Amino acid sequence: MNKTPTLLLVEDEAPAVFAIEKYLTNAGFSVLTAFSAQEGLKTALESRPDAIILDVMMPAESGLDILPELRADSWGQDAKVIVFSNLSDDKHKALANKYNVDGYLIKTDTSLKDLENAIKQLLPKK
Amino acid sequence: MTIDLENLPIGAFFEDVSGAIKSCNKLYLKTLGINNGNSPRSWREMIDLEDEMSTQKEWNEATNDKKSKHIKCRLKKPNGNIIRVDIRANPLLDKSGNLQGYTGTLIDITNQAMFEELLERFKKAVEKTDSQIIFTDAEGIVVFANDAVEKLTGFTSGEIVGTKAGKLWGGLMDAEYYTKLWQKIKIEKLPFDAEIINKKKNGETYFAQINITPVLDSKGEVEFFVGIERDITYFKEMDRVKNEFISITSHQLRTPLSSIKWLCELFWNGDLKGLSNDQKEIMQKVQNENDRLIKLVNSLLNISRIESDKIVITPILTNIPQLVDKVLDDFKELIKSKKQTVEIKFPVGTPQLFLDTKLVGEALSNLISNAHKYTPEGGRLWVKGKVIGNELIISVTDNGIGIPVNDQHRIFEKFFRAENALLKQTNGSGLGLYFVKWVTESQGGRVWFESTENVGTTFYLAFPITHKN
Repeated sequence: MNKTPTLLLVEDEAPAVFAIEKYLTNAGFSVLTAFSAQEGLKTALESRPDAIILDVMMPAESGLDILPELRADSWGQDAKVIVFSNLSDDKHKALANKYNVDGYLIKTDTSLKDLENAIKQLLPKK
Repeated sequence: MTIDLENLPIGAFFEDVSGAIKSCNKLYLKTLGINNGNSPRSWREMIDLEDEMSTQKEWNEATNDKKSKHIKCRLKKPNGNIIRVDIRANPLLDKSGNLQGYTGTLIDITNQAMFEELLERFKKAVEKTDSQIIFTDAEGIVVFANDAVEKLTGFTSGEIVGTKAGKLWGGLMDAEYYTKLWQKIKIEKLPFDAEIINKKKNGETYFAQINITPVLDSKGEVEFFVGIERDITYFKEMDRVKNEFISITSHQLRTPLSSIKWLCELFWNGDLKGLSNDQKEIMQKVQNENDRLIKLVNSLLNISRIESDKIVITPILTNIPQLVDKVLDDFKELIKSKKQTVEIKFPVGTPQLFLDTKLVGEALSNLISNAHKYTPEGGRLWVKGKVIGNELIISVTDNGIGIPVNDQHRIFEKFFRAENALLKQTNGSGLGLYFVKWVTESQGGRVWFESTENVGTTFYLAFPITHKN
């Protein structure tokens, strides 16, 4: 039996967490959640999820702020990261790309189905 | 030796103490437009009402002192014309020192006075206007700076004159900017119009709109330059605040909008068995309205990015027919729901173009959305491509309501919506075509349209084929 893929959702907006977590759980993923960037980094390094869905604008620190530390980690350097944000400007995209993220999706332009497909693309084929 | 008055190149007269003209030359008569008679009219009888009091006073004062007189005044000729004259007169005294009269000269200075007055006005206009004006020689050395230059930059005219223009307050732009400027005004001999950042004497920077015009001599060589600068710091700041406001607001709006979008999606993925058709319809409308808001916010964000130069164009090799298929795919259901038909026609081997695929896709999406929205049920849409010369011309045609002639000249304006469009569809932002124009022109393309009300509209996008592949 294949292991259920684990995802880490780093997102501070409760309604968004509710919808994404529920949808991805229904789609067969195990979903961990973190409500801040630092909590996200800690959970990621401890739990080593198969992919991280990372919001940008969060209180205290932005999601992009934890990328240098994540990439400096021996596991974290190859961790799959999808940035999931409503910041669609080139400056943030360029910053994310500097840390080799695996995707940058704009929330309002992305359905949960699109998100699921993007995650599946990243995970090893069964 | 006696002097013949007739040979003088100016009007000359002799008048007695009472002011009666005892003798005069022809030029005196000609200047005043009067005939010679036994007693020609005195110029003093012809003083224009407006100058009468002051001139008479001046004359009488001088007469009492038996002094020479120099008077400038306006005279009214018998034909009603007003002329300006310069009169100089010397007292004629007898041996006992009694005043016998005056000998004088009279010159028509109407043209000269008008010219001087005009010149004075020009000078005042240049000196006192709110815009900064400088004149430089052909090498760019300042020869004149008006009051506003001092007011804005803090440098006095004395400090500026004699220096190279911009030496004191410029130098903040990159070298390429100044090379371009000099190339334009000195080599191409054309005006240069652009925004610039300069600095004041106190080190503070400011935004300005500058226009530098080369003034050419009869041989076509630069004689001097006129530079006009207008401080636009305030407008720039207002613009920045506005764009930042739109940007922040839009991002804040996008957060709940995306949550609603996903919650709707979750809803439709859940168990719908217990729901009535009415309830489903209500939910569908919630979702549609949310999608509308998302589109509006995205449009606003695009506009604020265009206006703050934050959109980076990333050209990649783009297959336009494929892009059109992809865009039309999003409209499939909508077009079907209005029973409209779409015809797509691109020539085999349509050249691929280096364009920002995403931006051009959004522009095409706006055109197709309009064609769909403003065409009634059962209508037809065409999306075609054609290579003409060195351009690929994409056209989006519909047989819809068309654009009223009176509205056509404003159709690409931001927030503008045609009158018949407003009546037909309330859900438009007036930002779509503004965006289309920007996307097209920022990538070297052209955009135009043909439209007849109640017949239909065609929008054309022409992109240069620069890299055939």
